[in-house]
Amino acid sequence: MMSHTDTDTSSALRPTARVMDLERLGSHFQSRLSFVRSSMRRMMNEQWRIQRTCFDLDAEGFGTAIYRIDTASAHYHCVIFSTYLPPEKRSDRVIADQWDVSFVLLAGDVDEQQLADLRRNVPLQEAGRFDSRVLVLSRANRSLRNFERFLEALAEGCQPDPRQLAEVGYLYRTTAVYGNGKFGIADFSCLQGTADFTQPFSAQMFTVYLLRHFSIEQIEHMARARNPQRAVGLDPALQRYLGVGNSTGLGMAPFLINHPQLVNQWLWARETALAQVVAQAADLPHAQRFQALLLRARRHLQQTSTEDQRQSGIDQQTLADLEQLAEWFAGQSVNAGLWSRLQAWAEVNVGTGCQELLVSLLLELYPEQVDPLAEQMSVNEGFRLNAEMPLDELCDLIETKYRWALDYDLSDAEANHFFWYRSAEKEEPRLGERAMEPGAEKEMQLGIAHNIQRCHRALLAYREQHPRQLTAHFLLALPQFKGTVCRLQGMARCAFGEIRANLMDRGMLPIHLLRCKLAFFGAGKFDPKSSRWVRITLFQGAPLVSEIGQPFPDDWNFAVMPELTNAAGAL
Amino acid sequence: MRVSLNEIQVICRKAFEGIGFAPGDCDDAAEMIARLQQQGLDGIGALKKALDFLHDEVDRPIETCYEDATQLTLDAHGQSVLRCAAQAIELGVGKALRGGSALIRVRHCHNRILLLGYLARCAGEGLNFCVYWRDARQELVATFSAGNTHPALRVYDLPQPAQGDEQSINVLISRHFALLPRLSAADAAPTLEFSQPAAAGGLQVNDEVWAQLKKLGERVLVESTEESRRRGAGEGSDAR
Repeated sequence: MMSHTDTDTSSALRPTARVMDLERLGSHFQSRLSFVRSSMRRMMNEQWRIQRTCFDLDAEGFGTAIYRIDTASAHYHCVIFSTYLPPEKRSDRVIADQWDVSFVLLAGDVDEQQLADLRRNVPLQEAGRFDSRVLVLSRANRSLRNFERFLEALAEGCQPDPRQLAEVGYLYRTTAVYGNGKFGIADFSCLQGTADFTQPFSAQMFTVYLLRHFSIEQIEHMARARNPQRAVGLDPALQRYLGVGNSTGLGMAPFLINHPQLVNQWLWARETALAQVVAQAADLPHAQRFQALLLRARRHLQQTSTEDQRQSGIDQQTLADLEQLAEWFAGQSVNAGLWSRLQAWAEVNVGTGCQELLVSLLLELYPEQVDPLAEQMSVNEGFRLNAEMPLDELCDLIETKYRWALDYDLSDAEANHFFWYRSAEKEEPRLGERAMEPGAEKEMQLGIAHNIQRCHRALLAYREQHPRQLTAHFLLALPQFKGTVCRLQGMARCAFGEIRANLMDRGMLPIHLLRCKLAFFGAGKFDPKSSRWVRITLFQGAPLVSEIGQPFPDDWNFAVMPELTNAAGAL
Repeated sequence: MRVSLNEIQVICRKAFEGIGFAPGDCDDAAEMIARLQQQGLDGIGALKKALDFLHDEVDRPIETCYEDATQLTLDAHGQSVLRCAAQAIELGVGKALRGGSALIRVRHCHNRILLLGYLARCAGEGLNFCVYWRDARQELVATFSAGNTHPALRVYDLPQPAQGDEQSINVLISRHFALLPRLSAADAAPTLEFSQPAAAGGLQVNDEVWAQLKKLGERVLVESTEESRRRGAGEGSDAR
């Protein structure tokens, strides 16, 4: 698939400089294009069948569960191992070596021998070996507070307090969800054979959805075991409000720098969807729908809690902005140019958080325009050298498309404050301070701006001596710039994709990178634990497995806490 | 052991980085070796052999000995072909597309088989490629016909040790004719033929070589300290 170029509806898309600003990327919210939404749509529209074929758990919830999944074109199994985890071993870090649950999604059937093999290897995660029948490998830890409170309530015949889920919206929190060939599992290209998981991360999102389903069945099982006479099942409204948590750190950050073509594709889809929506002639039903979505988003954000001061401040600002936006909107005439006026008003009057939330809201309004773009999130990555590009043209390219990189003053110590590196401890990515810590000589090459500046300087000097030569000649003389040149030639054809930031700058917040990718996954309830670590919730509000096959409004974004008539009283 | 394509790419990238190659070369290496492995050409084995030479790798310009509209001769001065494969092939492709054919020659280079892994990128150009090189005992000839990403590779024993400029690799590119390997000759017999793509479902690699590559890749890792564990990934990241 070709990556989309500047010439496609370029005048209608928001300017690259604004879209690719790191702080703006770090202000994204879940949207209709998010991978959990498109996964859910596929499951519901194609009526995937999910059946439990093994549920061998003891009273504490330890044991094995297996689910079989049938789609139109294939079948799969999800195998889940739930094991005792000593409290001192419980950690979200990639350096952990034991977890509450470990699980895989497999293509086809699973026989006894394979099950024995999985039982040995899956709990080991990175230390195990797997074959290409495994599509996804993952693990998760319990939210201890929620587990205990849910168990207590259900065992007593009551429902847990919904406020607990508003605060921590899950029973399980994944700490890694591996796909694409890691540790021997199937390469992403293997998923292109059927229609089920062709979009990036769709297999991973589906596996997370299965964990959500398991977490409900497990907690109900444990409650029944604790008190067979009085235990009740979890109210469906609470089941829907239950998501799966995820804990993400720096490990995710390099991805966005190392896959600029994929990032371009995602942002192109989002901006194109936005442009198409804004071009629609507004009418009363759509305006009313917008107001309903706005109200729900406000309630959702009010119910989002975090101890992180920076995020909390931002959320408060966004809430204040949303109120202002609602007031302005209520006073507008509903006519053809309404969405365009709304977008223009927001650009001037509210902050980045509200502006990007507005994008998510607008994307909900015209599914027929937006949903097809969710099927265009993948791209064939790789840069091929344009050897015959004249040096003048190469120079021009840098000076126009990468002006943003040339404009940084990288001689400043603050601009070189950090270096990114991989630790010998399970290769965990970490940030070091260049002036104070060892290891900078092994730093990861995430300084795109630095590379561009170095290349530009060398190119200018070379062109002075050899003005008529071609790019290939420059790279024969100075082969160390090949990677940078291939990338910049390739990315010059993309409207988006290069993150406009100096990733070594003292003021750089890695969490913006994490949030951007997580928002594309469909994350909600962003709860930073630092500038390098964040917890989120996926699938909160999503339909249940039992609802597959029923009418589906596909409108579960920004879930709000359900009101129960008989919730448990005391916490 | 069986490994995924992605694992091959990652380990190659890290191994080359561990040796000190530039990022662009590491990426090229990763793709080229993975491609060779997919084609059943034991890219990992080639990498292992290559690694024996690479500790002497020097960071020098690639010299252009001769260039005209249809020819290009480079001298890599003992460096890996990785450093100039992209430049050489892409210039050659440009010349062949314009003039109908081109001859590219890179002298004094190592890891020559990796060049085959690069050629798959050019499959869509409607060009035929023939690549040949010699080492002390064998001559290797690979042909890609237009549109094909998998080469037919033949290896011929040389009756006597080759002489002269033997650390070179030659690439003939043509729009109008395809070169086929010689089918039979009195003084040479094909010893190996690889023209089948590797089966899906993981790729077979030698365990020992894999372990050695992993070790090389570990050179890019920074020793962990209590301080780096505590602060490097984000304070409070162990919150329960």
